Amino acid sequence: MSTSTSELMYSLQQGRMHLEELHERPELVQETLKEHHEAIQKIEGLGLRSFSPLLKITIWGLRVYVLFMVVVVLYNVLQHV
Amino acid sequence: MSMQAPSREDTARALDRIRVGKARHGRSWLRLLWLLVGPGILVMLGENDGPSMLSYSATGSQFGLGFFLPFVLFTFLLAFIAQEITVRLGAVSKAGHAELIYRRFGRFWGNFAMIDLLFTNVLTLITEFVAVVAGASYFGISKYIAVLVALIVVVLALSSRRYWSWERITMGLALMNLVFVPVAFMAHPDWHSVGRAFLTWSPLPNGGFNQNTIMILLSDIGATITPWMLFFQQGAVSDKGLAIRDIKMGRIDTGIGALLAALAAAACIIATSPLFTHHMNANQFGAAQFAQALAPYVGRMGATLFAVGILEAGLVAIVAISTSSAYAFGEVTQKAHSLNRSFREAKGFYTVLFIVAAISGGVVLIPGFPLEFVVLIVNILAVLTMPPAIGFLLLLVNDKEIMGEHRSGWFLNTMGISVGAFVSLAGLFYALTVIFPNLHL
Repeated sequence: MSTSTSELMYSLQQGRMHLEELHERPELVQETLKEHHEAIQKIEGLGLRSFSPLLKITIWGLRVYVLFMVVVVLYNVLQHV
Repeated sequence: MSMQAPSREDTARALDRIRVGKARHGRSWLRLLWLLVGPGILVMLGENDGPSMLSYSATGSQFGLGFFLPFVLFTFLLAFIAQEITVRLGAVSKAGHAELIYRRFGRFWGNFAMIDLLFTNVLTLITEFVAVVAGASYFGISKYIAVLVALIVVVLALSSRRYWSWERITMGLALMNLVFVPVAFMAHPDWHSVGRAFLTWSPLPNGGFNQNTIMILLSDIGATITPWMLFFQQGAVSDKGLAIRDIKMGRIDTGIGALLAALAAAACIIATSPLFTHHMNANQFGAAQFAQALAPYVGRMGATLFAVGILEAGLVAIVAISTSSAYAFGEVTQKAHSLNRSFREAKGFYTVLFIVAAISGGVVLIPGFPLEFVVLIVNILAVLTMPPAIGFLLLLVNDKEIMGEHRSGWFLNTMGISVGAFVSLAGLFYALTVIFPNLHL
């Protein structure tokens, strides 16, 4: 796995490293964040997922649930005012 | 060929990763834990916010030591199950919750999720300022000064331009939530009753599960599980740069957060239980009145600590909730959204963060604004908007293209579905008691 390799590699650096010092080492930054950048690239390449009929019914059901509950809350509040 | 200079965001994150790598390589597990904790503790203690502490105070003063003590622990277990999923999602995808919803479900469903989030966030933020103003009023501080100081704290927390520093400052502030623990001791509760309540979930609420009890029940669930927590923790995990191999520590972080927050919540119920024992009607109490009413039972010092706790709860939540709104805004608009960026690099992110906080603070200062109305409904609305949020959460964590081998197995899915079912059923019981007020469950 890329992170374990890079972390092991840069853990060998001695002493305390500072932000300014690291800024001058772009290759070190890139290697350390390899897993991060690969994951972002992967996510950016994803398209929409397909909805099965059951899934569509479920998420529409949950949406109707919320709208119904908002009406119930408003009714409840009006009862208390 | 020389490489392009890295952005400030990347440099800061890489520095944090190198520190983590060194701690792991040196087998300094305590140091590793120190470096990796944060999002979980922040989200759990952040959710012990103004309306939550008010809800626990109402619980303690109306029902004393009984069913609700273990129930509150149970709600934190539910919160842990939901939040653990955001740790995995953030560490694997390195993307925020809003971004994943938009990418995989499209703009139509993404907009619904954002409306739920922003609606509940703005309402919750207003109640956080109510808590800050109420806590400050105990010390005779004007509401204008209280709101101004809260906004200054938000700016100060952001001024470091480093996720790490922001996280440590906010976490230090959040740990003050534990101030309710000494107040619980000062209330000299009957520890035998406390122990019995935890072991037997009794005595049950007087009068059974009527409308008032169900409202408190729902409010206590809303005090631990809300949509903003999902957006915040996933955003914070990816901003912090947690890697896949950090997931275990992320779980420990979330577990520690849940334990600390449950401790503070139980302490708040115990601290306010003398009001139940002495038959004081606390139905219409605000935060400041709770502190004043408790003074005869917990002493002047206890009442002062209680007021400080309410003030702090609102303050931490203002920082955390406005950050969750800003993360979501940045993810949806695909603009820079990291606390590792300077203001110049992420103007939209910081502007949204501050404006959401400032507008909510401003609302509290409007004379005659129905603040009690907002406080009353905010926790309940948070619970009622949770089922679709949990639905998306479960769909995302089971998405093979996003999660690969890290998607949930049957056990975690059973737990996740149970949380969704429990929250949905609690909402339905509430609806039944509203539509049929004489119903006793």
